[in-house]
Amino acid sequence: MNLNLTEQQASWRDKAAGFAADVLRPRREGFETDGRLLRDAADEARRAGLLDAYLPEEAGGRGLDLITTALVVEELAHGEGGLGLLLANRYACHAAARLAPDPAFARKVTRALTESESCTSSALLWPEEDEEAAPVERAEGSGRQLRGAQSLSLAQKDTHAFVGFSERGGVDGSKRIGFFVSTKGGARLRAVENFGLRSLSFNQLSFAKEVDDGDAVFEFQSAEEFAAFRSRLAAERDVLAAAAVLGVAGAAFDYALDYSKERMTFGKPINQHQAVALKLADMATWVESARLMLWEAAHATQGASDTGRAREAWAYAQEVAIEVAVNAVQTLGGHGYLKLHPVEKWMRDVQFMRLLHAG
Amino acid sequence: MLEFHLNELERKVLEESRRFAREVLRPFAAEADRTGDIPPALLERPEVVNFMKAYIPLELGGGWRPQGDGGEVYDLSNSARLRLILNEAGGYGDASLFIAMPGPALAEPILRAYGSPEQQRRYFDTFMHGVPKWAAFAMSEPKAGSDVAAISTTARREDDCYVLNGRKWFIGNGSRADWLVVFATINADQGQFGLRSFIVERGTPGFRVNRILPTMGLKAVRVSELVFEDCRIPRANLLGPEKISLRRGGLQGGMKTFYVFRPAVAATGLGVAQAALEWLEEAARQDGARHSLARRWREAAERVGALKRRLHAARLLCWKAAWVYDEGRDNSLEASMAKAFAAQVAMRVCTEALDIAGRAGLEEGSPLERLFRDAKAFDVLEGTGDIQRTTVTKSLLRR
Repeated sequence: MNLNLTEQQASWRDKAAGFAADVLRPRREGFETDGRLLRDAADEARRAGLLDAYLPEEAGGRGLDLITTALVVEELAHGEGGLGLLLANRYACHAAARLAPDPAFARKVTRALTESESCTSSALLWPEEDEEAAPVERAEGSGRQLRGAQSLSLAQKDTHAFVGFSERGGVDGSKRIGFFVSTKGGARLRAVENFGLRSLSFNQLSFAKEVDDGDAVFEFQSAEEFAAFRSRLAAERDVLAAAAVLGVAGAAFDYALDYSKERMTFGKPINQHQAVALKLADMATWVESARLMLWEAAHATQGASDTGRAREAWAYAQEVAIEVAVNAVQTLGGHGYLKLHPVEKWMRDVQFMRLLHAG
Repeated sequence: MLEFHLNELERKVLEESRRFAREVLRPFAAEADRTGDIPPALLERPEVVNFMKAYIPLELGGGWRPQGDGGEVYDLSNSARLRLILNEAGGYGDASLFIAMPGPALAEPILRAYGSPEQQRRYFDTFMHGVPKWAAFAMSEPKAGSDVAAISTTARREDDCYVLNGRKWFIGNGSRADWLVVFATINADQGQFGLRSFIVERGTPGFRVNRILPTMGLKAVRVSELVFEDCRIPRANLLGPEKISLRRGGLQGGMKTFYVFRPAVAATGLGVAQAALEWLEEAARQDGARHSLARRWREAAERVGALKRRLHAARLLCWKAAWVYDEGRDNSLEASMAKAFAAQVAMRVCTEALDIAGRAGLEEGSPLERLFRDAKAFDVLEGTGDIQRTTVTKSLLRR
């Protein structure tokens, strides 16, 4: 075992932590009420080199690996969960290009995803519960139609690149699984009221369009090829979702710990009361254990030795995160229930992230 | 650079540890629980005699030779991670017997930290002659468990002797020990800085075993109540310097012992939990229709998945605490996190395993109720869970 980060990893983590402290935290109160704030912060994160660092150097990035990206996502999410999630989404879209066995398809995806500088320029359509692939692509008339829906999507009006699995129906009734990138419209959005992560807006997405020149579909040649691609992409997505949810949980814990030093009851700081002190110890231990599991999963996924660890890391991180967030509110007592402190926001954010990633 | 795989040495020790657990300890587990003692047939096994020297440094004649004198020797003395591996396997085989095994146990790291070369040679020699021998670590008292600074046993200097008076409590293997490390105060006004540790040999006048304390689990350990009444020991039996140092009081030696042992003790509890889950899984696989255990196991899949995740998370915390120690850094925060969390997980796993098993868990041959009783000990011994969590919070507040 070795838990020392490399110099490069530590440097990126510190850079993201600094950005969270200097740029995100001072704007904390505004993120929920002013949708532009997160976009502005995302633009600053790009200028600081944080938002696109995972891209290969030829595409303008720094080629950060999954482990380092997870470190960055956790730190950004510690500042504002929405930004951590945005980065996780962008990374996942690009991961599809990196993992695609067809270089021409990979180039096309990368081109589509880097065309715009908008932080919501791309969206990944992930199959919903019990679905193998969605949308569905079928022959209709002289062409082919791509149709599908996503009940909760990060896609926005300016999202121009959609990537995802597609079920390809053949004229003979056969079904093949593909992976597509689509860049020329076809998406309809309906706003969804979100109780958490309100720095971002979410939409119900329906997708219906004729496949045209702006689109590309890569068709898996075998069930094994599809399974390997999907499990690796799912694992990378799980790792970053775990990092994001842990970032928010970490913020909630840190705030509760700081509050416990200042809040006096019965003549002493509340952390001197065992009921509070033991709760704080549990919260710190849970976060630390989940972080170790996350690092192990990122390491295993990156080395492609075990993609199953990522699912476990996500499952554990989201369990831990909601426990920590709820306990953070409890630590502040009545104050925790007020919007005058951010812990109630983090509790809502964590629960929303759990629903979002559960599919 | 992050690395989570075991290295070659760790893999070998793991393999040998599991074999020791399965083939040596486990076959005697039920008997030990029934009789509250180590079965004599177990003490005759060569693996047990070899185990006595496992944690003693090679240069002092120690080392673990699981395959006997002709086989490979492993030096566990300077690696918290290798200790952890052996301890988790020990809990997996049978925690009660593992803790009751002959050897210096908790007295080993403090003798190494504070014993003079002469003291180390003399007392580690106890274990070099192929006959089962024990040492014990006598710190707790009826009114000084986790709060070790409240120790009231006194050591009064008289000429070339110390005279010990007091009562020790909950001392593992205390009734078997050939020698013990006993904590006592030489100046009660100085609290923890007045504490010193002394070696007391069995048979010293004034020292007696008052009784074996009845426990719900870990019965083979025979935790004991020890009494010291005007017990005179040579001045040379003091471990470490007599002069009080505010920076390195006598207590610090004891605490160091805990820091190397805590991740390993925590891992022993995880071994108990692992054994419970594996037994349940295997029993469900072999179950007929009588108890519908197979169905209960299937229905509990999600619960079991969550338990396995917690077990893994706790194992990583133990590994981190051991790794930090091996890196030469202060691991008090990590060790307390690991100990507190692993004990909770062990208890939860064993409780839920028994819930899932239902009545099948009570049938002859099922170890589940024994594991359930044993698991609770890990939230109590070597610093309770609440004390560990208090340590965690204090560390965090100091940051």
